[in-house]
Amino acid sequence: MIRKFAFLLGLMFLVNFMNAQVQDTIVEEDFSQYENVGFADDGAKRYCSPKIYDLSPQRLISVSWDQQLGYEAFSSRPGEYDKDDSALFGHKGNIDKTAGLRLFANIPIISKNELVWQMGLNFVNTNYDINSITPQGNEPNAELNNGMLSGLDARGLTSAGVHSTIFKPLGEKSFLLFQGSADLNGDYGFDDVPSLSKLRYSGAVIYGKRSNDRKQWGVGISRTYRVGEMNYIPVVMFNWTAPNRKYGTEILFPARANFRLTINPRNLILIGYELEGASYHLANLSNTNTNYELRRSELRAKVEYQRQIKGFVWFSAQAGWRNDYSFNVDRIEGDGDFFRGFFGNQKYSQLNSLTNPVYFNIGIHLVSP
Amino acid sequence: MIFLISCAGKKESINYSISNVLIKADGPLFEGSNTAQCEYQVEMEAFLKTQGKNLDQLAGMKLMKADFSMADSSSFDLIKSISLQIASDQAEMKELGGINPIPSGQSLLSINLSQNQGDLSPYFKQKQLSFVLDADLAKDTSMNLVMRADLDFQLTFK
Amino acid sequence: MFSVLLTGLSVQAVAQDNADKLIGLWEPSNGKARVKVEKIGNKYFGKIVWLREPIDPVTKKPKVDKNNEDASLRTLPLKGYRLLKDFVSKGKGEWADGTIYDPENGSTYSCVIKMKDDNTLDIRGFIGVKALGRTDVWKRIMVK
Repeated sequence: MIRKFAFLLGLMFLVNFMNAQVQDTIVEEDFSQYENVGFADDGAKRYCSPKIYDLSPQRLISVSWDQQLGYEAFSSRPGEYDKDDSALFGHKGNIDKTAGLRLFANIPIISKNELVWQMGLNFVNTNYDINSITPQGNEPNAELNNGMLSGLDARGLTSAGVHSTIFKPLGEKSFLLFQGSADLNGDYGFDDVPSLSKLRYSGAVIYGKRSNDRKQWGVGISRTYRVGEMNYIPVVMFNWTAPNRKYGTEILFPARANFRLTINPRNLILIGYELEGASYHLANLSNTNTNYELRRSELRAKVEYQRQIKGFVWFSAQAGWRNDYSFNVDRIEGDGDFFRGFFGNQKYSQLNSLTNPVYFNIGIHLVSP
Repeated sequence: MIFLISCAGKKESINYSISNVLIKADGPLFEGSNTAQCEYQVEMEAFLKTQGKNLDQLAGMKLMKADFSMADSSSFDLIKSISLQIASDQAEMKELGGINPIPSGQSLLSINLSQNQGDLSPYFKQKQLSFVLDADLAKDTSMNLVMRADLDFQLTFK
Repeated sequence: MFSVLLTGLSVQAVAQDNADKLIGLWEPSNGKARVKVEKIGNKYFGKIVWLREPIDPVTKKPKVDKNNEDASLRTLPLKGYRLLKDFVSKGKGEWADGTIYDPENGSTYSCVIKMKDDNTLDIRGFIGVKALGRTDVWKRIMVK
């Protein structure tokens, strides 16, 4: 009898428990009560965000094709030149196109309110399609071969590197930004990768303020190869979005500066420029004791359209005009590099000048808005 | 329940309606967003049997129309906006549509349907689902709020 | 048998109580909104119940979900919008299989919630894998 009673009691308990799961639930909301609140314990410490409204989305993984249309390259004979020397150009190269694949990955290692740390890899391959290299001028005994141009035609240029970025907020308004990278650049393929002594190191440190959700600025110093050779340059960051959120700026001077038109959160246009550059080890010309470095730098004025395809996959297309800033060659005894900066007077071993073609770049990206 | 059969190429479709779904919120209610939910016992399997079909043949389901009226035939003047969701334990909550603002003087309204509602058949292949209605009230009221929903779906079959 | 039945029900009730600890009012670290977590069926959902800046400075009207990918939903009010959806308790202070919506850009992220203590949540929104994401700290709010 007691057992039957106990079983019945348990069954009633079970039935009531199950019935509680299936019923209409009506919740009344008095929204005004949510004004007069307080934290249950200490509130969360607030940190400034690395972003402001409407910035173009950050790319986690990026694949793009970059191509410059036809142009000419004027190349001097090997010698010793100041940058402004009006050298007699020994050769002219007719370049049908310069093109190649670009791969970037930028993955968050730590992504929290108080620290954001990202690391990434980059790979850029540039092939030179040179249809003729002809001697120029009327100097007697002009060499028939130009090692640099013919080397570019045969081997192209490759750049591969790792980079790391740390964003450290110092409270709600100010932050520090650290960036560093190591790149191996040269005329190599996968079967003849140069030694790590040829790595080139860059970095930057910026102190900034996030004034509000629409403005963020910073100043700092960088060690950079964007001008083709090592230099120490101040940097200025200014990201801003207009109150109507239809336009803004994305500036990291002198590396890049863009004016942004926001069509909607899934479509935007950037108009501006980017300064690209690196120093490439030319194994084709180098030997054990003497290294030749191509100091390549170009300023790209562009219009870029970015659009969401689906979810976090975006498409970009940019077109513009590539302006040659530097394509000179240095001769370096031994390993390492030297610092010339804006005021150094070390001689170049070869002066080169490129005419300026139109270029385009199309890509697919996995982004983190 | 009303049904119509149409044949368009290889895919057969049937219209399926759920009428008189009462979604209630007991007073007093306050200005702002109020949530009402209704547990709905699904009768899809029984209905499909009457059509000589079964659940496995149901390939897709889409909400074509959602009409709301106040059960006491009054106007919607107390309500500024409504939005309708469907939810279940085995599938994600989905926005079905909404209307904001509700024009004044309306006693019957059709909500704007979500373009991305996708296929709703997974909800109706279960025994039970929830309709969740968020109603944004213009002011406090001590009255109960009872709304009637009439939902028209289109079913497609393999 | 009766004691076994009661023990089983007690364990389930305790697990349910722990899962229901997510229910309540929470504030993200940026302080821009307050979110009320409620239970519908066996899942947990979070609705915006307060906005620090409820009026759109451009339209001068209450903010709506203007960035929603679905154009038909862009007129719905933000206050009352359910930005946490479909969370299922996994036990041990974790809720998963849900999503979090960012009204600033109309994006929906996969999301997991971990309760660090009774008044603190780690909310991690991510794309595909947890490594591609970001963690925010939410604090419990009490109505005075």
